Formats: sequence, structure tokens, C-alpha cells
Amino acid sequence: MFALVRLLVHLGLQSLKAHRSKTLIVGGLMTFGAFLVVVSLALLESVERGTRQSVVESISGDIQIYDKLAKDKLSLFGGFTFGTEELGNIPSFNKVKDAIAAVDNVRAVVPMGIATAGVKSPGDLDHALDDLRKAVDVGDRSQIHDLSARVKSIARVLLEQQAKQAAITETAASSESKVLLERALSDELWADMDRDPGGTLDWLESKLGPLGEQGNQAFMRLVGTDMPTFEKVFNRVRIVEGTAVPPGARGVLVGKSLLDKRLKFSVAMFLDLVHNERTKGETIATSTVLKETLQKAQRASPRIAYLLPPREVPAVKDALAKELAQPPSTELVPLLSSFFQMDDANFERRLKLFYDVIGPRIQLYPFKVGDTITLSSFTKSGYLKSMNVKVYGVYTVQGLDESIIAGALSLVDLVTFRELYGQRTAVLDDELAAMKKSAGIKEVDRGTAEADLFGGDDDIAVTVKTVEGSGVGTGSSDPVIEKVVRDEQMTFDQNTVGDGLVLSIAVMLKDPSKLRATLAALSKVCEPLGLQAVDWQQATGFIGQITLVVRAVLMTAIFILFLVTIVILNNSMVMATLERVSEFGTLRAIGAQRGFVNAMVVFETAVLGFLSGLFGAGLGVAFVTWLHGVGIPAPADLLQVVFGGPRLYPTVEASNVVAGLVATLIVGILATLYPARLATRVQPVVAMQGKD
Amino acid sequence: MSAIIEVQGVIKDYPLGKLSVRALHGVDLTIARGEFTAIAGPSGSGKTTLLNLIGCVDVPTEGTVVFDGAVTSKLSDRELTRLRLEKLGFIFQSFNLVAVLSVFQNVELPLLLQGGIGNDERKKRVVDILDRVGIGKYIGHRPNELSGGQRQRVAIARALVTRPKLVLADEPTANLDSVTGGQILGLMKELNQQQGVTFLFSTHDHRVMELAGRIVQVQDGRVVDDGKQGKTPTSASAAAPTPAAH
Ligand SMILES: Nc1ncnc2c1ncn2[C@@H]1O[C@H](COP(=O)(O)OP(=O)(O)O)[C@@H](O)[C@H]1O
Ligand SMILES: [Mg+2]
Repeated sequence: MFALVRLLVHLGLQSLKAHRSKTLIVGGLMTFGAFLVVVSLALLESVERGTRQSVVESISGDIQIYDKLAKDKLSLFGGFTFGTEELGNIPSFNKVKDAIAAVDNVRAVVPMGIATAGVKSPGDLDHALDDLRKAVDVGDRSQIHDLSARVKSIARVLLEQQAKQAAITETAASSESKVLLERALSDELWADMDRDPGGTLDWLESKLGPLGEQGNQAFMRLVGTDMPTFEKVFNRVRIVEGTAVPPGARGVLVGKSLLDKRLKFSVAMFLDLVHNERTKGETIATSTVLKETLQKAQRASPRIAYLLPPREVPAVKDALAKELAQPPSTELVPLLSSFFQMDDANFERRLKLFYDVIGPRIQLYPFKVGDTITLSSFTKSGYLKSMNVKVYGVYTVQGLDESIIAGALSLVDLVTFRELYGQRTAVLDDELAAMKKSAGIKEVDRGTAEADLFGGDDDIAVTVKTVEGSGVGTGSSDPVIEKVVRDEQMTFDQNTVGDGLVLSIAVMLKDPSKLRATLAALSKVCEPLGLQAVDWQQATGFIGQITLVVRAVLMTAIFILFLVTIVILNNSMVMATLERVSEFGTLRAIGAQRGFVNAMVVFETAVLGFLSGLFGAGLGVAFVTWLHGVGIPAPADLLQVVFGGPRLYPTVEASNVVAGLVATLIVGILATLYPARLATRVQPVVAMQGKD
Repeated sequence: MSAIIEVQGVIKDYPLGKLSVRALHGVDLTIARGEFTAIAGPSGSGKTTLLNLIGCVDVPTEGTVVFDGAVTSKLSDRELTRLRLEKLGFIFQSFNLVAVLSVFQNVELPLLLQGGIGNDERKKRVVDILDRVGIGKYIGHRPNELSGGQRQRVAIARALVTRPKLVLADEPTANLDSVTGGQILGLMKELNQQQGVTFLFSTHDHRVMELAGRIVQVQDGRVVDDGKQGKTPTSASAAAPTPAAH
């Protein structure tokens, strides 16, 4: 038997040698196939591990559990639809927690809820007027002086802008606003300021205020969670500034990349962007995008002039004049304009100057760690609710510091989340209706109320107003009730925070490789609780599914390649069989069974498949090892998340090599089925019919 | 001594498009063990067809071929193959050695197919038979490194290594020059006489026939003369319906 197998292998090898060009083509294809399988499986699995690290250990956990009746699919980073998804709810986390935690392989359970909230930062003029009002209230004369100067410089910039705009559009500047702005710049107004600050301020706020630019409303995707537990379980989350939110305290941890890439002062953001691209090898000289970005920075630069406190202006002017080799007497705005005329030669120096000289003198972010910010959200019951929350710190996801996606979510305590999320209760619908009526609205069909809406006292200001095209889930002119909670309780009892609504529960596993089994076990537990369990790939929406999509695409490509290989292989094997009819006939005549002939042909491809599979897999291993050494840079932010960091360092597993080998062998054998069958059909009589 | 082959009233038709060609028109033939028989006849007379039927690579359209007691037309492809492997040896006109195997491997092949023979025994039998046919020193050569006569010697060794009951040779000298052809026939005759191997070979070469113990004349698919008892016709007029000599 052994001798027979050896004979078959020998026959196979010899025949491969004899048909060299066929062997090279087919072997080459199979080598390439094995290489491709090994490399793509290694990359895919590395990417899956990368994505897993990015999302599982930063936010999602291995498994997410949420309401079975949810209208939308859970998607932690946001889905393709705008607004907050309908995820149903889990009325009490504590009631289901133990049942979930008891499932085998579950390491930790963390309650979660997603809400979208806007954080407002006022326009520069509003900001300055607000501060001025505060200074007037306390009678701080030097503050009043500084802020008056700031209001004046803003008015001057606005006036210039208006003039420019009028020149471009060739329409006369609105005389009304021109008059207002000129009055704001006049000495008599500021003389009035000294005499009657209150009255003057009223005029400024009501007349000048509306001329200022709108402030920014940035949207934050908030994940409400039990903060102490979260910080313990998600060990990729790093607080880079400030502190964790202490137990029982209301507060928010803001994603660093959200701050740096969405909320930062625009001029600084533009410069950061150019800097980033330059470190990746781009140059301003060759990139129109970078040129345009710098032009935007230049256009926005006058804002620096009025964000700077007047007493800081001379220092900035000195520094700029020195850099630009201009007399220090030059006005600030033209100095800034020249300063932002940047090129590859001066960019890094000027960037440093910007952050050394200008940065510390203006506020680069709309809020600082320690500030209390106002978050506004449309609650489930249709209120626009605003509440104040303290910013405790800034966090990043380890290895993904630069990624906007990884830092897109901000973390907030559960109590604040529940307030922002809101919940409709029947009892309060009536109260809301009554309230709306008293506010002069005849009928409000969407009238709903929240459990705690009227539980407060005078701290809570409730207004009813019509917001044009404003809200999430609101018709364009629906009346909206806005509730502003200004001085709410800033603490709560951490121990009872689980006795209440959450939207989902993150489950972290002891052994992530047993995900499938645990998911099945959890699903069984969840079913009677009215919950569903999904793996992290589903729970993270499109990010988790990128790998699934890439896998599907790659597998399809490999499948097609193999189909092509099978066809080519089949054809060349059929040709080879026809050439060997006399050989097969002779073997049959001297007593070889059909099975032997069949085995001969199959062995031949099996030998070729095995050798080229081994060779291709070897090349694949070498290639992946090389990639592991150099790392594949993530070209886009999204890919950083998928790669689990700025670079992917793929590794190859033994299973990848086995898969490559098995795949080529299967392809080889499939391709041989038909030619082998042909060979067995060769009749022994052909041996007798002379030569060929 | 019982006959190894009994051919009785055999008709063989070959399909040819919608028609069929009758290659054998009712042939009767008996071959006894130990005979050295030539089938003679011009090209197209049906020699190969007859050998195919006797060699169990084909079955008759009508009539029976009884090989060593078995009616071939009643056997399956598997059984026929087994029969060829165990009881028959083939020598072909164009040698039909496996090009990618060495001389040794070519001769070893039938023994491997048979199985059940130990390594040493197998090697010994291959080497012995190669020595016997005079090709012992070319044991590691490839067929394409040998002359036609040497190749046919290897083919004879391959046919004999399994110790078959009957060796069939279809025009074994047709591709050889006359001197070499004579030597090959001489070798076959020697093996027949010394080891009692039964040979049945076809030829249209008269000098080759001279060595035959018995000459069966075939013409147009019929046996026209069965020169039993080894008498060789001296005349070349094979077509003449001469009475069988005794
Ligand atoms: N496979 C076949 N198909 C059709 N006709 C055949 C086939 N083999 C042989 N014949 C015909 O049968 C007759 C006998 O042929 P064959 O046995 O090869 O003669 P020989 O071997 O004496 O030259 C010839 O007429 C030949 O054309
Ligand atoms: Mg013939």
C-alpha cells in the first residue's frame, strides 16, 4: 500500500515535471491563491482584533443587551439616521443585572444609555456682553474697561465686514445696522457706560447683540453610565486632563478628539490640520487643500483681535511684528493677516509662535475642565431640556488618541443621562397640557411631561417657545417646551443609581474567544426578560460591521479567484489527460483499475496543490511578518479605529496557514474531478491501437 | 492439458457512425497451455480485434471467449481488469512503457498493482526478470534512453513479471528492424521453451512466423488456416485457402 502511494506521488511529480508549462501556470495560480488566503485572513483577523480592541475595550464590551422591542438597532457610534435612535428601554438595570452577571464567562456588566445633547457656546459678541453684564453687576471697573474694549473691537470688525460685503455685492450696506455699529464705536456711548452702565448694557444687548455672529451649537453623543464601574471595566479609557467623575457626582468626561477636532477655536483647528498633514509628508506648496485651509485660518484671524484682552494686545503685536519684520506700530488685524500668510518654510515656526504667544491669551476651547456646561437635549417626551453639568475631565482611548470616532462619545453619569433622555409618564401629560394652556397655546398634540418636571422648585425655569426647524423629531413650527435646570442637585446616591432606566447593558467577557457560546447563553437568559443580546460588531453599527463587509468582499474576491483557478486548472488538466490517453490505456490494459487512474490524476494535482500551497502560504507568512515589522499606517481616521491604533501590525496565525493550504488543496481537487473522470473512461483497447 | 483459451463462434462488430463494421465473422479458436502461436494475416484482417477479445480488453458481439474457464462477456469491467492483471501479460507494438518511470519501475508496476508482495520479493522478481531478458544493466534508465529492441525487452519483462498464464503480443516486431525483431521473437521462443510461458502473437512478417509452433491464418475476419502442430507454410501466399497441415 505504502509503495503504491509512493508510486502515485512519484508518478504525480514526474508528470508535473514532464508538463512544465502547465505546472508553472497552475502552480503559480495556486501559489497566488494560497498567498492571498493567508495574507487576507491574517489581515482580516488582525483588523478584527484591532477593531475589537478599539471598541470592545473602550465602550461596547463584548456583548450589548437591549430592549427586544427596540424600533432601531443599537449602534453605539450612531447609525446612518440622524438623531437619537429608538432603543426601547430597560426600566430597571438592577432587576436584570444579576441574571446577566450569573451567565458563565461574564466578567462584568455595565449599564449604559445613549443621548444626544447640544452644547452651546455663545457667539463672541454675546460672550463679551455676558461677561460685561457680570462685570457690571459686581462693579469690577478694570474688567468693565477691558470688556468694553472687546465689544468695541468686535463692533469694528463687524463694521469692516459689512463694508467689504457691501463692496462685493454692490449693495448699500444696511444703513440701520451701520448706524447701530457706528454708535457702538462712538465715544459718547462709552461715556454713557460710565454714567449709566445698566441702561447702556441694555441697549448693547438688545440692539447690538443681534448683529453679532451666531454662537456654535455642537452636538455631543453622550453615553450615560455608572461612571465608577465604567472606568474600572473599560481599561482602554484614559483620562488625560482633569479627574474621573467621583462616585455620586453628576458630571461629564469629554472625548479629547471631540474637543480638538470639533470644538476648538477654528483658527487653531485649521493650523492643527495643516500641521498633521505636513507630518504625513504633504506640503503646502503642493496641496491646494492645505492652501485653502490656511486661507480659512487667515480669514478667521480677525477674531483673535477681539478675543484678546486689550492689555494682552501689545505683547502679541510685538511678537508678530518681530516675526514679520514690521514696525510694532502696525495695527493688529493687518499684522495677523500677514502672519497667517504661511508657507512650508515658516509654518512650523509660526505654529509654535501661535501656541506660545496667542494660544495662552485666548480661550481655545468653549469650555475648560472644571467648567459647568449647559447640555440641551430633546427628551423622549418632546421637551427641549437644558441642564448644567460639570466637566470633570477629558479622556482618550489608548492608542486612538487622534481618532475622532474613538473620542466622539462623551461619558456622563446615569442621572444626568436620564434627565436628558427624559421619559414620558401618563400622569404628567395632563400637567403639561395645563401648563401649555396657561402659556397661551391652545392645543398641543405632542404634550407630554416628565416625571420630575414639576418636582423641582423655583430653580427650574420653564418656558414655552416656538423653535423654527430646530429639533430632533420635532415639526418645524411645533411649540417646544424648554426647561432649564440651573441649580440642580449635583450629587446623588451612587448605590441606588442602578434602580432606574438604562438603554443597554455592556457585557465584558472573561474569555472573549468564547463570544459565540456566551452570546447564545445570554440570549436564552434575555429572552424572558424581554431583552436581546448582540455582539460588539452589531452593537457598534457600521464600525463593527466594516470588518464583516471587508471580510465578505475579500472572501468573494478569493472565491472568484478560485473559481477562475478551477476553470483554468480544469482545462489544462483535460488537455493533459487527452495527451496521456495512450498512457492511461496501457495502464488499464496491464491491469490498473479505474480507481488507480483516478487516483493518479488526483494525486498529481494534490501534490501540486500541496507544494504550491506550502510555497504560497510561506510567502504569505513572510509578507505578513514583514508588514508586522513596518506596520500599515491608517490612512483615515475611521481606519484607525478599525486598525486599533494609528498603525496595524498584523500577525499571522497557524489557522491562517492551514486555511490557505486546505483551500488550495480543495481547489486543486475540485478542478481535477472532471479530468480524472475522463481519464478513467479511457478504454484499455487504445493501448493496442499502435502509437497514438 | 486443458485449453487456456476457447473462442467459439465469435462475431465482433464495430460501430461506425450509424452503420457497423464486422471485424470478425464467426471465429473458432482454441489455444492450449504452453503453445507458441502466431496469428498471421494482412493488415485489416482482424488480428488485433481477435487479440483484444482474447486479452479481455474487449468482449465479443456474439459468441463466447472462455479465458481460463471464465466467459469474458459475463464479467464486469472490474473483474476483467483483475483478470488481465493476474493472468495476462501484454506486449505492444509500440512498447507502451510509462515514459516517466525508470526501467525498474515500469517492470515493478504490475506487481505494485497486484499488491500483497513484499518489498524484497518484488525487487528480486523485477531484477531477475530484467536479467533474464538481458536488460539488467539498464535498470535505472528511462525508456527514452533505450533503443527500440531494448524497450521491447523491458516490455516483455513487464509482461512476464507477474507470471501470467498467457502472454499476448500484437505485432511485437512491427516497430523494429528485422534483426532486432528476430532477436525479440527468439527471446520469446526461449521463454516459451524454457519456462513454458504460453504466447499468442500476431504478425504479418513471414520470417517471424517461422519461429511459431502454430500459425493461425486470418483473413477478412475469418480463420482461413489453423496450422496446428507447428508446421510452417513455406509459401508466402497466406491468402490461399490451403488445407491445414498435420
Ligand atoms: N475501433 C474500431 N472501429 C471501427 N472499426 C474498426 C475498429 N478496429 C478495427 N476496425 C476494423 O476492423 C477490421 C479489423 O481490424 P484489425 O483487427 O485492427 O485488423 P488488423 O489488426 O489485422 O490490422 C478492419 O477493417 C478495421 O478497419
Ligand atoms: Mg492490428
